[in-house]
This record gives sequence, structure tokens and C-alpha cells, in this order.
Amino acid sequence: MHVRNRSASRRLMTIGAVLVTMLVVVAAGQGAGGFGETYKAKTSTLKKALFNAKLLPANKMARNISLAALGRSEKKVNLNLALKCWKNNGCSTGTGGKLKVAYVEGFGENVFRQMSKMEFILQALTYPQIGKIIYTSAHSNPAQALTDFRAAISQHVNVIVTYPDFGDAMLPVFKEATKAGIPVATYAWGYVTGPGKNYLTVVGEDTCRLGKAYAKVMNKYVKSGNIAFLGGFPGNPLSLGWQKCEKPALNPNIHVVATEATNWDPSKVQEVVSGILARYPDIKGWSYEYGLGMAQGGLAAYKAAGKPFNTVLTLRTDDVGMGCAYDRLKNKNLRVFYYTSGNPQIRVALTAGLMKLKGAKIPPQIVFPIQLQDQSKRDQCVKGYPEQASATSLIPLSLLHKMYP
Amino acid sequence: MSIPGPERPVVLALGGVSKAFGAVQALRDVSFDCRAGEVHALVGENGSGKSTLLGIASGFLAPDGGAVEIGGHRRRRGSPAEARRFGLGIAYQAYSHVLDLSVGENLYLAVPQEEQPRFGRMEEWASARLEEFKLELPVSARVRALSLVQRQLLEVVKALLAKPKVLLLDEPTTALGPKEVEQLHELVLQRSRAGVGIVYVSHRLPEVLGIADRVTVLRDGVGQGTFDAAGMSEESLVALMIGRPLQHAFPERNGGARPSDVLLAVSGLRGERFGPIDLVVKKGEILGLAGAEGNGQVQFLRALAGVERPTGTASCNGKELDNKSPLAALRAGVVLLSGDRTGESLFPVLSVRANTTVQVLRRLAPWGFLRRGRERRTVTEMVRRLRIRMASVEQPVQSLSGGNQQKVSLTRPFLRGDVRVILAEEPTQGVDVGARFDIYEALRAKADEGVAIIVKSSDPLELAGLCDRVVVMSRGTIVDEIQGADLGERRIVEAIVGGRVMQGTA
Amino acid sequence: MSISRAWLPLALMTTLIVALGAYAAMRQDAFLTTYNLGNLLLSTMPLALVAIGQTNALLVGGFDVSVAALMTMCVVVASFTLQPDKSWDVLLVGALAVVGVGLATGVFNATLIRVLKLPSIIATLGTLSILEGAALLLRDHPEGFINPNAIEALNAGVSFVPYAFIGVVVLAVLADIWLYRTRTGLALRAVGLDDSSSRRLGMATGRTVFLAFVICSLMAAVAGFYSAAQVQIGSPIIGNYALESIAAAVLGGASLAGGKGSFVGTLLAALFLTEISNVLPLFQQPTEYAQMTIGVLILLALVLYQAPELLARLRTSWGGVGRLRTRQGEAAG
Repeated sequence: MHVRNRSASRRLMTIGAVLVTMLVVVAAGQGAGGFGETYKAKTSTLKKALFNAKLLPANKMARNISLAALGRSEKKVNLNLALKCWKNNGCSTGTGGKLKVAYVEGFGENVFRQMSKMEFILQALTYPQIGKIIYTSAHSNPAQALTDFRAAISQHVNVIVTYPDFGDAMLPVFKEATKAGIPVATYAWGYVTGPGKNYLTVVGEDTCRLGKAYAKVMNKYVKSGNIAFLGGFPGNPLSLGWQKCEKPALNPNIHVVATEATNWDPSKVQEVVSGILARYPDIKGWSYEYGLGMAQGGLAAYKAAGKPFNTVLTLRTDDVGMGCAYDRLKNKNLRVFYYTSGNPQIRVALTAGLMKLKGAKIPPQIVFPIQLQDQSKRDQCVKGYPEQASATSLIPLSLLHKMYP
Repeated sequence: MSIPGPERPVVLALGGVSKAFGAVQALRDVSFDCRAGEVHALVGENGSGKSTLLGIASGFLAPDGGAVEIGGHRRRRGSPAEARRFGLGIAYQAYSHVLDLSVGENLYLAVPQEEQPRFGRMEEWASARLEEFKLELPVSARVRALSLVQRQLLEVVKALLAKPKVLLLDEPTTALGPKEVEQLHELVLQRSRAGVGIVYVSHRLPEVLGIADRVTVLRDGVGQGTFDAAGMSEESLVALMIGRPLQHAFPERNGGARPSDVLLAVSGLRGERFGPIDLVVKKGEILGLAGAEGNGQVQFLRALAGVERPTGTASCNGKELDNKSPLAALRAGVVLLSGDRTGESLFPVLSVRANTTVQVLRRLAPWGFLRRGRERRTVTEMVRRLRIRMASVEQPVQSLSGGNQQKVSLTRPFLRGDVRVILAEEPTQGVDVGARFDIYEALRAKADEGVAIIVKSSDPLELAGLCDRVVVMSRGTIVDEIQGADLGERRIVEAIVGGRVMQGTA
Repeated sequence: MSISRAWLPLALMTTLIVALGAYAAMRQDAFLTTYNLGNLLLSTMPLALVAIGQTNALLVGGFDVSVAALMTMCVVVASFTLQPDKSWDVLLVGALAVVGVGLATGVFNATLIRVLKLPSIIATLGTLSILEGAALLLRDHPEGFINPNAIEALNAGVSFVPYAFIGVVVLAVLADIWLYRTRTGLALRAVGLDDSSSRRLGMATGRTVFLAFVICSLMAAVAGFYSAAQVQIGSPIIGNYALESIAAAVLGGASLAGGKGSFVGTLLAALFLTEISNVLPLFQQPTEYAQMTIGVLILLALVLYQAPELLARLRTSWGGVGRLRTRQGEAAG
């Protein structure tokens, strides 16, 4: 439903962009006086996080916020404190800062979320004004997610960053927070209805465009035949978002024969892929999000079926392990296209929330453009990285090794 | 006791009733009637179909064919509620108590809704009812806390509460001692004089002949005829029940034990409800334990078996008996055959085979894997030796008749080579005549192998016929010892009564 | 003895609620705010209602594991029948439709259990799958807002105490009075304690079990309204209420073997369980601790509530050979 009024909102955004450009000067001035935001980041930082320094949001203010957030990642922070904070699910920063920030999510038990949590902590530690970092996961329990969110509100935290795993079911608490004057920002296109109104902003890529990018790859490399869609938890907005847009963009000779949920769990992936392979042995491609899950579960399922892993994969995450599995296979008939895990997006969400506190005008959507990477041209198997990690993360390598020894 | 004339109305009539459970034909075209004011006994071996017949009469079971009429009402939809509405009261052999509810609540639930008092007045009402039937029970106590005797009497009272036109009593005296039996019969006769038709099911033939006006005999689900009780004797009834005259009621005693071979020696043993007790049992001896119900016999046996914890000493074969746990007692060679067979010593849902061999699995499964062939041979041998009657060794034990269940539990001492003492608690309770003899014979055979056996029984005749020596307990201590030529039913009963006198003066 | 034991779960739950609340109030100012307490009571509503329903199933010796799926289904159905901008008469019909889903599910479950004689846990497991699938078919992701006026009405209250909470307290007290002070309540307990004896006594055991499961589902449907008021949208995922409702009933004194339980106890336990999940995020304790705490508490409560039986069992069956049995042969004369 969030794609329905896209052309209208784009029109609005162009108008907004003009207004925002006028406000930038003001905002920048305020920023300097507030948290010292500078809309600058090193090209190396941008390239690491976004593949390409040009893949920044088109909207001027959104671009500035992104630059400010990514630029902050270059600051030195106490990595030991960060690790402790990560392990203990929150901490006092020891700066004596007055601000409290919270990362509240409905589900936090996978590597992607754990890395996002660390990026959130690292970003928060760049603000001496932040005295307390709060983290909660509701373990996939929606009632607990609402309770956790309200606990953050009742503690008067200053900013809430969230991945809204239960979609619009979180709207009541988003509104309560907004009413209480707490900016709420979501990342990784954790889309809930009414950004800019019901809550501050949503950061991430447009999942509909992701689906269209997937379709382009399929049209080019599969051309005709059967493909399948895999997703995360049943009904999650990320999977639904790209699935809805990929299907109509496929050429008429490509048939989506199955759409299944995997809960982003490699063993479930194996189960699901095996099942689909049994019914459709001639399947030619898979669209999914979780790269490593596909590298582990998908590969195992093909092996079990006694079939070579000759297929086209379009994936969202850039887990190092997926690339390394590809390198080990040395199979020319396997084509892997990936986007990015996008963990640093959570930094943008936090910075946007904090800038809001200083009166900055935050656009309702901070949208990163999409460019799929071809594994055969850009190897995501970065030497020295833990296999489950994403190489586009801005977590220092030494810290990553401590997180995943 | 008067023979009712034909003018008395029929209060319960079953016409041509049949019922099958799977392949087993439990009842075949049985007709039965009971008139107002008569006591009509129903006898037959266990498994002959008595309980099935009662189940159908009471609406608990639906017959495959035939008609049931209660108090002149043709039954339509078989349900216990309907039968009760038509005037049928029943005391079940397995009771209808909700054990975790109080006596009062159980009584309350036993009467039809329109006769129930206001809920708030329940206890008061229940006390009045109990008084009416001269039953002294604490109204607020949970039924679980009652003795079996109390539970059985309460069951009869519950059946009478709704003022039935016909009263069905299914083995109403199994748990009762002679005094309670008398008390119960008094109550039954009083009701029959008041015009209630009574169907009396029992395996105790002397009781049956003492109370019944007419007797109907069932054998293998087929009616063997209805007779005036006055013209029948125990022998003639037994002949009808089992199809052959009972020749030897008890196995012969083979000269008994030699006095030197003391196997079990108990001195100063005390426990809950008994003691101090001093006692010796010799090798090859069957010792009877008599007494009125509730005088500590059960607790004494259980203490020896390690189920309850006593103080004092007991030794077996010269070694002090460690009776801290059933397992320790078992290791010392002491085996308890519990009176509550299905509750304590058998696995009711498991097969005859499994129940037989579960105690000696280690022997049958030398490397942890069960040798099926060896197991089957063992079971077949036991089945033959104890004459266990069943359709197949894979039949669940709970589907066997009481006597055959008891035989299955008897396989335990037979299979274990290391048994020195057998403690048998009511070994023939609820067991039919034919099976009784098999059990007696099995016990005697075990004694002849040199095992010492203590039999606790509420049937004096059984003790007199089976045992070499009988001790009588009262108030937890041994008050009399009977052996040799003295040993007879009459002498035992006298001793029990004597014990009661002592109790009264103590 | 039996009186004090019946009160034990109630006393224990009250103590725990007060103790946890006092600790939280001392350590965290946010706890005693009307915002937090109001939310605590409101978020207790779904669990309290469904657990009271579950207590009925437990009383007759069964389980209903389909309650959570039914609640989800009710929320999803409500997102169609209780849409925004509808008049009150339309909403009333819509609410009846939700109750109808509960009633139909209850009759379905009860039929499987009583007529087809399926074990309740298996029967309701099947229902759970059917309902979950149907809910996902109707709403594959959260959408379809629920009428804000209806939500406001459900959440309305005096100060921070919702009227509905007062209502559920009254309901639980009345239900306990019914259970322990009336003929039909006694009959329900008798059926739960011993189905076969109850049948011998001529009680309509089938009807009692049937009704218990229908009431269980109806309560789950009402709980669904309060879940709907929480998420305010047709969400196909609602939460782990099946196990939590059983946990609440057991902590409140219900026996898994049937025949024992207390509606007030269940309500208190539901409040306590919700309080745990309310307090833990205030202390940044991960919810893993909540799960572990709940597990430990259930075991402790079971041990405590059944201590006399367990002691008797330990005493009589040293070595594990014997079984719990009653003393035979109490003096009869």
C-alpha cells in the first residue's frame, strides 16, 4: 500500500526538495550549533557503505542527513564500550549526556539485526550528548513489541529507532510516541503507514524499486522459464514490497511458480528450496533477501537433490559468506546479483531523529537508490571478514572479529 | 425374605439382550427380570457378562440388540441419567466416586437435580442422609481419604439416595469385612421389604444364598437359568457357573515346613496403624493374616515390602531386611502382590506379554536388546502354568477378568528365581471360582519350592483352606494364632470376633 | 487444609504482583506513571480474557491451543467488519460477526473433541493451523484499520483503569462463585476430576465438556477485541497467547489433570505475567529473562500447589516403584 501514491508523493517531494534546499542553510547552521553535524563524508566511507559514492538519496535534505550520519561514522569511539553495550543490550555511555536513545525491534535474533544494533551503538557513541543507550527485542511477539515500545515512551527517551517487524500493527505506539514528542525513525525500509505524519521518517531503499531491479536481472539472464520468490516472516513488509513489484515487471515468459516464507532461517531455506525443487526441477532463478541463507540452505538443497547449483539469484544482502561460497563453487552457470544489507542505514535513522530534536526539517522518506551488484564483477567475499558479516557495514573490522570470533 | 408372588410388578426387565466388544461376545440373548420386593442375585464367573449386563441395565452401555424396561418405562436413549429418572439406582463395583470431591459433594451429585437441596445447605443435607443410613463419615472429607470399606458403603448409600424402584448392587461386599457385610445386608433387606427390587451381583456364594430370593446364573455371556434360591446349594450354583462340579477347593498341604527353617523373622516391628509385631515364618509355609478390615494387616504387609516405613527389625534368611524402599525389599527377595492390582502392580494398558516380562527384562535382554523368541517362550510357559485365560498375549491386561489379572501379577514371583518371601494381599479378591483354585495352586507350588508366603485375606474360608497357619490381627497386633487341627473357618471367625471383644475392653 | 490450598495461588500471585510492582516503582520512575499503569492494565486484557477461557478447558481436563490463532482470526475479521467511518449499528453487526467466528470455532473444537473423541490438544492443534492459514489468506500483512471509535470504547476507563478491566475482575469473581458455590459449578469440576464417575452418576458429561470448549473459544473471541484495540489493524500475527494462557491458568491454580482451577487466580496470574513483560524493558532486561522467569515460576507454582501430594508420593514410593495411593483400611468401626 505504500507504493500506491508514489507518483503523487514524488511530485510532492520535488516541491519539498525546493523548500528543503532553502532550509538547508538554516538547518546546517542549527546543526553546527547543535550536534555539530557537517554534511560531509569521505568518499571511501561512502564507497564502502553504498558501493558507489553517488548512490545517495536524491532529496537534498535526505542526502545531507545521510552524509552527516555516514560522516559521523568516521569519528573515533570507544570500541570496548561499544562491545560491552552490544553484549548487554544497552548501556550508559559515561559521558553524562542528558539524552536517551532507544533501538526497539520486534525481532533481533539474526546477524543482520545484531549488526544493525552495533551500528546504532557506534553511531550513538559519537554523540557525547547521549548518556544512555537502550535496546529491546520482542522475540517476534507482537504484544511484547507494543509493550517494549511503550516502555521506551514511559521512560521519556529522546529518540526511538526501530525495525517495525509487525508493520502497521505498530502504528498505535508510533502515534503515541509522536504525540509525546519523541521522533521515531525506521530503517531498512521498515515501512509503516504515514511517515512524516504518524512518525518522523523511514530510511532505506524503495523495496518496489528493488523488485523492479530484480525483474530486470531475471529478464536478462533467465529470459524464460520458472522462478521462485522466497521471503522472510509471512507478511513482512520488506518481502511483500519487492515481490509485489517484481512480478508485473517480469517478461511474460517468466513464471513465478512459488512464493514461500523462510523466516530468514538457513535451515528453513533448505527445506523450502528442496520442496520447490522437487515440484519444479527446472526452476531457473530465485529472488530473495538473505544472501548467506541462500548460500547455505539453497546450496545444501541443490546438493541433496543431486543437481548442480546452476541458477540466477537476486538477493538483497551482501553477506561475505555468499560471495565466498560463490568463489569456492567456481560455477559459471551460477549468477548472483545482490544489493546491500544496508546496516549503516540505521545510523542515518538515528542522526535524523537527533537532528529533529534540534529543529531540523526531516523529510518523511530518506530513500537510497538501488544498484544491484554482479558477484562475478564485484566479489563480496572480502578477505578477513567473518562470513556472516556484511562487507558494506561500517563496523570496524577489529570489532566485527570480536563480535563473531 | 419372602418369595414375591407373580402379582408383584416387574421393575427391571431385560429382554434378549446381546452385546459384543470387538470379537468378544460378552452377552448373547440374555433375558432377566427383577420384581418389586425381591432380591434377585446374578452370579457367574468373572468375565461371564455380569458387569456388562449391569452396564446395559444402567444405561452406561448400549446393547447391540434387545430391550430394556425400567419401572414400566421402555428405554429409548440409553443413558445413566435416563435410567436414574426411570427409578434405577446402581452401586458400581468400581464405584462412581469423584475422589477429589468431598463426601457431601459426592452425595449431592448422586441425586437428581430436583431433589438436590440449595447448594449452601449441602453439608447439612448430606449429614442428614448419612445419618439416615447409619453411616458415620465426615461430610467434608475428600472421598480419596476414605478407606475402601467406607467408599463401598458410601457407594451403596449413593445408589439408595434417589429412592430407586430397582437397586443394582455390583459386588457390593468385596472390600467389606463380616460385620460390614451384615450391616449392608440388613440395609438391603430393609429396602426390599419396602418394595424395592434388588439385583445383587456377587461372587461370594454363601452371601448370595443367604440373601437372595432368586438366582440367575450366567456363563460365558449366556443365561443358565433362573432358580429359587431356596432350592440351590453352593455346589449346584458352582456347577452351573463353571459347568463342572468343584472337586478340590484347595490344593493339598504337603506336610508343611520343618520347624528349624525360619526364613522371615520379625521382632518389634512398628509402623503406622500396627505394632509391635513379633512373628516368624518358615520356609515352605503359607501363613494366613486374618482380622477385621482396618486392623493394620495391610500396613504390616506393606511395611515388610518397603512401601511404608516401619521401625523395629525384620530379617530374611538371617540377614536384616532393608525395607526402606520396595526396590530394596525386592532385592532381598520379598515380593508384594498388591491388592490394588491395576493400580500398583500391573500396567493396565500394556499387554499380558509386557506385564509378564517387564520384571525380568534384564534376563530376557542380555545385551539390552530384547530377545523376542526367548520372551515369547517365557510368556507362553507362564500362561500355561498359571492357566491365564485370554484371547492373545498382546491383549491389554486391563481387558482381562480380575482373576486373570491376578494371575498375570502372580507371574512375577514365578519368573524371578530369587524370591524368598511372597506377601499376597487379597490374592483372590474379585476372582472367580475357577481362577481361584489356579491361584491357590500356584501359591502352594511356590511354597513347596521353599518360599515363605504370607496371605492377607478377608475370607476366613480361604485362609482355613489354603494356609498352614493363621495369625489374627486386631488393633495392629497379633491376638491369636491358629494351626493344625484347629484351623477352620469357624475358629478364625471366632478369633476375629474375639479380637473385637478384646478391642472393646482394651 | 483444602480451603487454605485453594487460596494459595491467589495469595501467591497477589504477593508477586505487589512485590514486583514495588521493586519496579522503587527503581524506575516510569513504572508508576498513569501512562504505564494504564498500558499495563490494557495489555493485560487479552491475556486475562483468553486465560479465563482457557481455564474452562483445563477444568474439564482439556487444552485449547487454538486460542491464539482464533484471536488473530478475530482481529483479522474485525479489520473487515469494524472499519473506520461506520455507524454504530454497522459496528454492532460487525462485532457480532467476530463473536460468531468464536462461536463457530468453539462448536468446531467441541465437536472434534466430544463427538469424534479426538484428544483436545490434537483437535485444537488442527484448528490452530486452519485458523492461522485462513488469517494469512485474509490479511497477508497488517492492513485494514479498525474503527477508532470502537477502540476508544474498548479502551475507555476512569483515570488509568479501563472499564473493561473492572469488568473482567467482576467476571472472574462471579465465575469463581459459580464454580465453587453452585450445583452446575460442582458438576463441571466433577466432570473434570473424573469423567467416568460423573457419567455413572448420570451427569451430562458430554454437554459439559462441549460447553467448556465453546466458552473457551468465545472468551478468546472477546480477547480478540482487545488484541484488536491494541494493534488497531488487521494483523495476521498476534502473539503467543496459547501457551501464555495455559501458563496463566496453571499459575492461577488450575490443574492440568482437570477439575481444579480458579478464575480469579487466572486473572491475577495474567496480570502478573503481563507485569513481567511490562517491567523488564524498563530495566533493559532482555525478554529471554521473562521467558525463563515464567518457566521457573510455573514449575515452582506446580510444586508448591501440589506439595502435599508430592510429599506423599515421595514418602510412599521411595525408589520409584510404588505409586501414589490412598491409605487402605482406616478403622471402619
